[in-house]
Amino acid sequence: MSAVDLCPDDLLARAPDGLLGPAERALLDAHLARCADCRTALVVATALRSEATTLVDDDLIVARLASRARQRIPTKGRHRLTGRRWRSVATVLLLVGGAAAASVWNSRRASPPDVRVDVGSHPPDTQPRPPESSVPAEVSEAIPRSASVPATHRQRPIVADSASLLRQAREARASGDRARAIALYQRIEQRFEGSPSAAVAQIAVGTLLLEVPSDGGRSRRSALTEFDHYLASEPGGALREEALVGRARALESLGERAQALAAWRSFLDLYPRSLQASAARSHLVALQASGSSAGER
Amino acid sequence: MLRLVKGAGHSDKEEALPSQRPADDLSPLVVAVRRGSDAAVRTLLTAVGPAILKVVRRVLGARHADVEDVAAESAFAFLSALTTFRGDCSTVHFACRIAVRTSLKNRRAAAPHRVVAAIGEGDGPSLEDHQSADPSPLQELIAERRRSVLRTLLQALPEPQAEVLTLHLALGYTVEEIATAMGIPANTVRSRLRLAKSALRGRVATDGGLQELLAEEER
Repeated sequence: MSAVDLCPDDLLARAPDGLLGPAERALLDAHLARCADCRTALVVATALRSEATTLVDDDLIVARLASRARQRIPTKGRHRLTGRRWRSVATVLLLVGGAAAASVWNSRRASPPDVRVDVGSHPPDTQPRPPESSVPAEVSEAIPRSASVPATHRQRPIVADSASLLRQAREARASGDRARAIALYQRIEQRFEGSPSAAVAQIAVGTLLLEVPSDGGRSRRSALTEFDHYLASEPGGALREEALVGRARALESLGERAQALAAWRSFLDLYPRSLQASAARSHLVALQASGSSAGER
Repeated sequence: MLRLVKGAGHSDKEEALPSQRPADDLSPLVVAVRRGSDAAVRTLLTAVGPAILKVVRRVLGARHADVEDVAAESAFAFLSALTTFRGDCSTVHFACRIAVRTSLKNRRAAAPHRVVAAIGEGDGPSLEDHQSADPSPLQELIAERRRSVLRTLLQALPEPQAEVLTLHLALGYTVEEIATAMGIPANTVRSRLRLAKSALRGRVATDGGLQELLAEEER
């Protein structure tokens, strides 16, 4: 057997995470000294695993995954699709298809497809993004929700537009351009009202508005409106948990202690086993403690 | 958001997953999904979703624009494949394996067999991106470029080798875990790993740009 046949693959797999003991590390190092293949592999593994794979708002993304996949999978008792469900399934399928088509299209062309709608004054990755501190506090006011949609856009394939807008919004959000992300999500809300994309956009807008630095509470009040609107319009919506958490956070940040307490309690009553239940309990405890200390004073 | 599903926990001889294998907390949910429980679908996806997301980010890059779409595709493929899932491996490993395949397929479709070694080319971030975003060290830019090139290298390998090597190097799966997840003998995994690593090194050895890029990592 050659040295290559004896590659300690399992040590190699664990090494980049620092999980080897001194003896194992010595064994691996001895092997690496004579095996160029494993040296290269270790460099590759270390490089690939150096990147963080957990980001802010992963809970929301996972909720969307669950929502999207549930609408696509045919399960027992759902063989007959109602008109509303058909529309919803068709929208999701077209969304995914549109996104895939856009991906292939983009890989073949340097310029974006003509169905893509540029929002704002700077297309992605071509102009400098504003620094974080320059995000306007009154961002929601700066983008009127009642802005009319140009007729040319209305006549274009509506699904491709929504997929492109969602993609652009995600890109803007991932790059830290909160103002642009909010603008894009609000466009989706306006144009695709009543669709799954609009619901996702509504929650995303609320969540992003909660992150806006202090502006006298205007963004937080707007966020509260977004969550309230979602809860009123989608009583059994797939993102109800996220909306309830967002609502409670908004109330708490606005200093509405009694309402925030009620909102967190209501969330825990409905979703006692939620992944956010533990955080919700912490908020409750903190709010109750702050109430007691205020009473003592 | 993980929630327990009513009725998901009781046993069913026909549908229950093999009991002699290591305990899998999610197997009752898998059974409930197969029975058509909508709530179980959501709960299961909420449980495996973070793992799927992690895999997709490792294969595509954490900030790739298609991460969410590919993760959604992976989740759907995972649910579709549950009908044939025999419980040979944990549900999470099964989901991760499907996510690896879906992500690799997506990368291949987006940029077939394109390997770019030089800094300043390719589908990774450009220097301008970094200058316009929060100020980041040049090292971070190089690291991102390196990861982008390495992902393209992995994708250029034959599919079975790429899948095994991704599970092994990007996700840290042991040989045994890969064998169980893929339902193939451990020796086949070792053989594919050996071939893949050799091909990887061969590619690096003949490309000065790649050598330079990887030398930074070794330092």
